[in-house]
Amino acid sequence: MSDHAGGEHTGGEPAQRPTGVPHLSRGDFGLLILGLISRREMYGYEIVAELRATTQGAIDLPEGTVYPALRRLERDGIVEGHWVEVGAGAPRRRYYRLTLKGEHALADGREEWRQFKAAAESLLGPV
Amino acid sequence: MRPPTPAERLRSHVDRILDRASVRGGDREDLVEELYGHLWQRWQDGMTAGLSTDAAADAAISGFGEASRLGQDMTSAYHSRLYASTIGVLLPTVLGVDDKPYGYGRARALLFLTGLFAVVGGVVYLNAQTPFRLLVGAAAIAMAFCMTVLAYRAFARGQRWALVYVQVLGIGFVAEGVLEFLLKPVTISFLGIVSIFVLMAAFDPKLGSWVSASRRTGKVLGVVIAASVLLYSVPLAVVAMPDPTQASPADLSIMVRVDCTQTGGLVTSGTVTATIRWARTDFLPYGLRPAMSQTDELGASSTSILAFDPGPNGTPFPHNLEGGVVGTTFTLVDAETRRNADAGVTMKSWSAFFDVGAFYKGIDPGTIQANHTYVASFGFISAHSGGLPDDPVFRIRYDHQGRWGVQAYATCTQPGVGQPVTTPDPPTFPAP
Repeated sequence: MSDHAGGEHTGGEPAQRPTGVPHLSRGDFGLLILGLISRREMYGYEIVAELRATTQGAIDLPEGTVYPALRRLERDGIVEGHWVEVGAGAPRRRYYRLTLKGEHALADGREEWRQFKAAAESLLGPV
Repeated sequence: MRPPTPAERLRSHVDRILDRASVRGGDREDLVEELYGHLWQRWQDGMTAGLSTDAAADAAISGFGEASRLGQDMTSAYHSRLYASTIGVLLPTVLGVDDKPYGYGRARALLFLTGLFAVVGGVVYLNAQTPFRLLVGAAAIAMAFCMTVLAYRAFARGQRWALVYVQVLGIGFVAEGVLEFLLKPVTISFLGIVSIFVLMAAFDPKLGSWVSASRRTGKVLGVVIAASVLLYSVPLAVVAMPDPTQASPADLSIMVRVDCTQTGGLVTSGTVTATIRWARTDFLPYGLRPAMSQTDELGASSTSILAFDPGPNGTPFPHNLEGGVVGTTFTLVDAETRRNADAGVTMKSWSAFFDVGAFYKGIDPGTIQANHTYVASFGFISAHSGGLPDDPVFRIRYDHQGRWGVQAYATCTQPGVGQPVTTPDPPTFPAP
């Protein structure tokens, strides 16, 4: 990943900025998604709900924003999706999981954030 | 017509998003199912939380995000940034959408016709304008045209300001059409008629819901919209604007002298002589068009007219050219070159007789040279058996393409000096 504000696989500013999180880029958002689905396979609705719950509402995106981000990650081979039948009357769900490339990207992203955090703390004190 | 069910509204929102995105067929089907599945689950959860079916659907749609932004973001997820910012935006606009609301086609048709008329009408109209007016008029039309194109594209993406633009444009065309009809009852404005049908739909709630997901139009944008519509009226006003590249009445001097022959105390014949000199002439007097041709008809608005007017006492000039006896001489000479301008050497001009008794010469301003002195003379013989009053008044008037004029009054005993006058030429006489 090129820098903390935008990974090379997703770079650029987000189309719709999450509330309460200034300057969160597409790269950051993609990294957050990777962090979530590294725990277990998830589908879009679940990712949004989990993101909101885990961050206690600090990241509260327009829900549809997650799908372009997932498509970018899938296009770049970082995640892969597959359909799962749910039951009669309910639409199928598309679950996403990390690929090997995705695991490397997540590790790189974590390391970059760690370095950035250390740099920030050297200036601001513990954050 | 029954209102859409909540499930249909969810599906419609998905379509709106993907209609604004450039996505391949197979991917589109997957996305429809995935996005609809998300909205469906949010809808179900909303009802479980105690919301009504409609309120839960509203919450699902509003929480999902603005259709146009998501569509653009989806396009950029599939394509390069260049594609996403240009073709990916234009393509859905060109191809149109399937779920067009009532009035969508009419509104876009008005925008299309406005743009078309701006280009075609602007080229034809401004082609005939003088340089400064052409620049001002063309700049105004270009800016107004750009705004129309932006509105045409924005309306397809459901942006509210574009609907406001359509409404303001329609009202403007109707107002202009009514005004035109009141001034000239034989004229019916085509765009005014079209606008009536567009306005019937433009304020309909269905079109309002089409743009409801986009931001409200603020005051600043409202002023920009109104100003951009008003820009279309600039070419109509541009004709009245002073143009520094054109001559003015201050650049033209006319001196008039009348030499009379008297018999028995009455004027029986004579010559009216006008000495005319332009200190400055027009730059491109006919705009970008070719200069006036010999076949142009007298009285064309682009033609300058030199008029010799009779006195107030009846009709002093004979009109019977076939008789060939009287009142038929007229010359216009370049005093420097001594060439007969009337023969077309330095001027194109012609003469004609009218029942009103005035004698007119059409002059091509494009052939006039600055700082040359031209002498126009008109020989007359009274048609009255007894002759004219002993000191008849003549008026010599130059009308410059209907924009401005200079005229002089003279008698046998009193020469005249040209004074600026307003146009069009008032048909009134006598002399002051």
